Amino acid sequence: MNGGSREPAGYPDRFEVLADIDLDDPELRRRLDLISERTAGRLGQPVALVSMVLDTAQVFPGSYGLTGWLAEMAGTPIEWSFCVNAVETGAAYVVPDTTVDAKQADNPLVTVDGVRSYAGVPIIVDGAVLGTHCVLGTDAREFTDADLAELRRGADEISGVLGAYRSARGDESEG
Amino acid sequence: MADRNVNPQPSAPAYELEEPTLATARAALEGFFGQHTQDLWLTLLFDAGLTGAETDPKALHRLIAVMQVSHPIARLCARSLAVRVAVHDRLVRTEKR
Repeated sequence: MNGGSREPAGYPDRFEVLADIDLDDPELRRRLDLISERTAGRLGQPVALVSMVLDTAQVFPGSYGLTGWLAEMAGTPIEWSFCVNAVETGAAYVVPDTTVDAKQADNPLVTVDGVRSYAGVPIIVDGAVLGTHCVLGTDAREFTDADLAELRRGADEISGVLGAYRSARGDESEG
Repeated sequence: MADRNVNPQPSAPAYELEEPTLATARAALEGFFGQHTQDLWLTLLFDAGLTGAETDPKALHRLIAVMQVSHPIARLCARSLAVRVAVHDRLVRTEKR
């Protein structure tokens, strides 16, 4: 699990888009937190995230339900990221039971932090896959089509927020 | 989530992550800037007051601080590095104590 230098997916476009977004903007974070809270509630999962997948880490500009070091760091090294899989493929990534999943069973988020299930869908802004909107659970779970549709609705809303935010920042810098 | 993790068992390290160094930072930049990395690297080192040979964690912290107000892509690299440094300090270094 060491190294952390995965080939950046889709460079340069998605990193150029990411670079235009101030992920620390308080109003942006507040809006992304609200969407995360709503998604967690609708899917009945304890944690929902807006994860932006960078080159060697993922960061969470929006979240609901995180505790402990994950809440403190608001991110993880890329090696521990579930979301990077959705970013690399541009498709939903679902792990109903992480403990029997060949790719994730050794992930410390599973073995130590108790993540037992995951579902994430890509967040796409201006054609670039920036990250995912996802839920984490502490129990194994089969995600339904309706669950994924709800995640996609959230991801679409997040894409809209980020896209509008990026445009507004661009207008400000040009003005 | 992660509450279970506050005091991991010291006898069985669960979080494996190499300690980030200046070399890690340079490698990250090379992933984006390729053959054009050297000029940026020298500028960043100069602005941070470093030679590039330092091995102490403080040197990396200084470099990250300079990267955070540098080229937009370098800022993204800095953000990633900052997460890796913080996680390493919080989890991996703690486990080894």
